[in-house]
Amino acid sequence: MIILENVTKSYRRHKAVSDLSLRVPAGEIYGFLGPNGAGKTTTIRMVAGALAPTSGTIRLGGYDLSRRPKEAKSILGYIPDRPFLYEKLSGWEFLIFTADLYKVERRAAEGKARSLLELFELWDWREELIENYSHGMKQRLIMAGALLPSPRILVVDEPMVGLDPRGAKLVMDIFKTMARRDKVAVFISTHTMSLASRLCDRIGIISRGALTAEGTEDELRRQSRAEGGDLEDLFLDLTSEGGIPSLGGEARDAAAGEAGGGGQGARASGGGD
Amino acid sequence: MFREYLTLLKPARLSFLNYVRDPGPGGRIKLISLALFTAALWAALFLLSVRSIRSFYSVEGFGDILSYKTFGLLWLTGAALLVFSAFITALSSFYLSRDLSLLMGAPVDRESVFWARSTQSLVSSAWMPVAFLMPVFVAFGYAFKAPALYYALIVPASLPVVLTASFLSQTLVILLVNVLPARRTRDIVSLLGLFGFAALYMIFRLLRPEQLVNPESFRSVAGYLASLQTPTSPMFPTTWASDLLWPLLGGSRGDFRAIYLALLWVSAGVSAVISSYAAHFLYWQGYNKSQEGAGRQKAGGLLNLVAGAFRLVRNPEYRAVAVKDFKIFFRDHTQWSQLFLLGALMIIYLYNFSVLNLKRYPLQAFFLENTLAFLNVGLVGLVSATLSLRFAFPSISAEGFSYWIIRSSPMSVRDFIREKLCFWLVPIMLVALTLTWLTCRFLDAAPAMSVTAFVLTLLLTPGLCALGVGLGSRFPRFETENLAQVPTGYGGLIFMLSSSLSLLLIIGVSAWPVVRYLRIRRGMSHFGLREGILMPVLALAVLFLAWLLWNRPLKIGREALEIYDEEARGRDGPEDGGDIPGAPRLPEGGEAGA
Repeated sequence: MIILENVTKSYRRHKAVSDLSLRVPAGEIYGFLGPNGAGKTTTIRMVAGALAPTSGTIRLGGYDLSRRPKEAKSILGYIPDRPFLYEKLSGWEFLIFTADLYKVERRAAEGKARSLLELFELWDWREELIENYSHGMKQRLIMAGALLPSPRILVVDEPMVGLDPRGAKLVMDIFKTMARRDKVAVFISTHTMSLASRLCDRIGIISRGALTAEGTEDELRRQSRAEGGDLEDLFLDLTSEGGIPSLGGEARDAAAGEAGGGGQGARASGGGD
Repeated sequence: MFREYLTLLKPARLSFLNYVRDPGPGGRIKLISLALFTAALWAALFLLSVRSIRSFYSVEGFGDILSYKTFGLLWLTGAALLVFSAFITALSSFYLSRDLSLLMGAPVDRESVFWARSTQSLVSSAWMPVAFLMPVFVAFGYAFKAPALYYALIVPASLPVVLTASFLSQTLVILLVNVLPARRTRDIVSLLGLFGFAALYMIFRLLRPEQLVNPESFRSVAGYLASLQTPTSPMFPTTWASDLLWPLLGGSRGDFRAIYLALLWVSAGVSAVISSYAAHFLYWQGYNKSQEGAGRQKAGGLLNLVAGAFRLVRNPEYRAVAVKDFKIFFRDHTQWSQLFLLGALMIIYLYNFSVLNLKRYPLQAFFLENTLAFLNVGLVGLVSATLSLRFAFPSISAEGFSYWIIRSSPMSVRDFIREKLCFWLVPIMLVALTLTWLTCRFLDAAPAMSVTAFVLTLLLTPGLCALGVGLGSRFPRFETENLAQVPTGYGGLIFMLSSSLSLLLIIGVSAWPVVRYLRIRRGMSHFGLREGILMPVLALAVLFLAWLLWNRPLKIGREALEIYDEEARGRDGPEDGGDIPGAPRLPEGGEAGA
């Protein structure tokens, strides 16, 4: 359903994504993990058609994204990590706008918009301008917009950003249903290991623009040097080069002094100097 | 506090320096072309001013007073422009900027924040009026052969005027934000600024200042002198600045009056103190008030009803974007409020033609009326170009960070650009045709000339609108906080140059057939072989130029928008995780001259 073949994205002095190939069949939830700057968002944006690759091919549902973008994009739903929307439209107007963009028949669109707004608990806010929505509400509205044209492919960048636990649970259930029941291919980029572990059928790990490991959690465990750890340990092992950066000496003192110690830094220091 | 103040100014200062050091791909060429353009503009302003000053001075018996009044009026106009400009920028700097929440949350004195913002507002509001007025003041010195002291005093005299105007505007903004109801404060204050500017523009024009250089139109010397009573007052700092420098233009150092310089600096100091008190007592309070949301504003009502007319658009993609554009335009005060300026522009335009009385010259009336009707096509073209610059050009940037929605949708860039073009072409064409029709009527132009003017307008307007949308796509600024600033960038400059050149070309090519036609109509010439060959050829040339103006910019814009992210990101490379989805990294570095 989603096929990337030797996809490369270069900027002037930098290769953001290098010779990336992967496949996500219909009905699968594919988790795309990687540290900051690894090329996740660039890949997601390329798959969503928001960015053109320097070389390589992206096929969505059999359509080459560069040659038949209209057909490829018409079966795609894209949920970005930041909820930039038209602030001066109401939630309802945004969904009808999306329906028109994806050529969904008006009556069907109105029915679906209503059920999606109810599902995402935005029905009471449908006439309010989006500028009055909270971050989480905007994120839920974007999801409603992405689901409205009944996509066969769903591309999601950091799905849980801004969502409360209730919203996060709802979204996970929706993704699972879409994949299992409707055979939608779901491609998710995330930093949240627990989410990837609970939700994804397969996981790809990208580091420095290249796919370093791919498979189910068990398969990844076999590929890793880490033994018996959870996905987070696997991730750290598979993405580290020359060991995990540690907090030592002045840096540790500075972090402890400024932030009161603890947090990620303290945990990461377990990696050793 | 001073260290804090300097630290708070750092982001703006460093951003500017970084841009100058590394303006990105093509940035050096932009900077150089901008510098050349500015230098040419200054030279033109200087030469034009020297010529005008000399012609004023040569009016027998009145030259001296006329020059003096013009000098005073110049200071007054400059100060008025500064006040309005500072009003708008102060509102944005003090209450609307996105980084304010970060600064207000930082452990810094709020008054440091105020002074840093005040400085930024002052610089961004003052640079343009000052840059444009300086060559004129230098021209006065040159025309009057003023001593070096005159030139040396221009900056010390103008700086306090700038400071006073800026501080007064800032105080006014602080007071208004505290007085007006919190819900729509920002909308109301910025609307007041724009409305005031439009009103000032209209009042200035309706006073018919051109009459001042035509003493013959007054019945008596007393009447003429009375008409010269510009609203200057001995209490205005602009009068002090004018009276400080004017005697030096006479050539004598002995006429230097230090008291005016002292008064100017005292007034700047007093306005700074008033502004500081206003900030101390009211800034934080007003900031909180302005941060309260505009309330749960609901969509609906008349706007939805009118937007229903878009159902006539059959293509659902075009309809979707058109309805969205229509609603956003009329719900966003920074966009629709520009219609005030458009209204003022149209009224003044038509007024200018309505007061023309060409029947005073019976022998030349036919030629004058019809030639003017033809040249009017160029003026209407300028109006269309202005409208395209204000509305069609920023329409692509208006998508903002939400552009990812279009980009990831099945709508192609070609269709997206075409929708923008159709959306703006209809109203701009309506304005252009209305102006052409009314001016032809005011001028009593011959029917054939009216038809020619109509046809030329029909040919020119789509091209100018396409130029706006095309260049708007070539130089998008999706990150902008204020859409009204988009036309002031480098892309806007390219648009102005290209549209002026296109207008000159098309009007130039059509001129010969028009003049021949008028001569033939008056029996001064006859339709010969030359006319038979050249007229159709030139008509075809006009058609070709109009097609080129329509076609090329759209193609350039489409190609640029399709690859915009690659160009843009070439500058800074990727930043995964911190990236804005589908959001552009712009090829354009910032505003012109900024």
